[in-house]
Amino acid sequence: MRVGEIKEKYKGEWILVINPVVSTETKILEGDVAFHSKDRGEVHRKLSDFKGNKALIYAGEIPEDVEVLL
Amino acid sequence: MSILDFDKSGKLIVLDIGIISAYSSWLFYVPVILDTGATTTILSTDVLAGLGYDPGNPNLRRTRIITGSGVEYSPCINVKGMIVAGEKVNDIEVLCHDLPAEAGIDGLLGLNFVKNFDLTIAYGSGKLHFNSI
Repeated sequence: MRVGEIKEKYKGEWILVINPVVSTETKILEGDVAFHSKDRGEVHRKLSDFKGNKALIYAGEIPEDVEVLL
Repeated sequence: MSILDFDKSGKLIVLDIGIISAYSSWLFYVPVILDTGATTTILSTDVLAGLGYDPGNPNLRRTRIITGSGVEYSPCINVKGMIVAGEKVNDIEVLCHDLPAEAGIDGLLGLNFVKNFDLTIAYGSGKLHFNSI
């Protein structure tokens, strides 16, 4: 599934993708959704359940009324 | 030189970076922000543990980090390698520190990676230019 479709389907969630297809510029293009949740920690804990390359995708946005200072 | 598109309408410059696992057998790609105000790259504790590193090891060097909200101490780990915009840097130090999930990222790409490149942020075109030094 392409990243655009994944973000549309799992809006507001963190998605663990296996078999990611990555561009030469290190952009995630597509992959197979292995797990998804609104809780990032829950997704992190699934990492060791799957072998091989993986990718984490966030399908949400920073709310308009929130500023970020890190 | 590598050229990477970013979403110039976004509040942050978010990139996918690949981190090599502790046994160099696989890669994990996570979203981070480009932070030229951070001296060192930061990754979350769970991500590093999932990659086979041991962020809980009491023998790890702990570094004082100064953030916008205070001073904290975090362990440092050298990861086998990191790939950004197709450019790989081997054996690079990262700080283990959990950033709030609300930012939609899992870490920061700091200057210890960036300093290996001439980096141009072209906001007009929404492109990052990484040129190896």
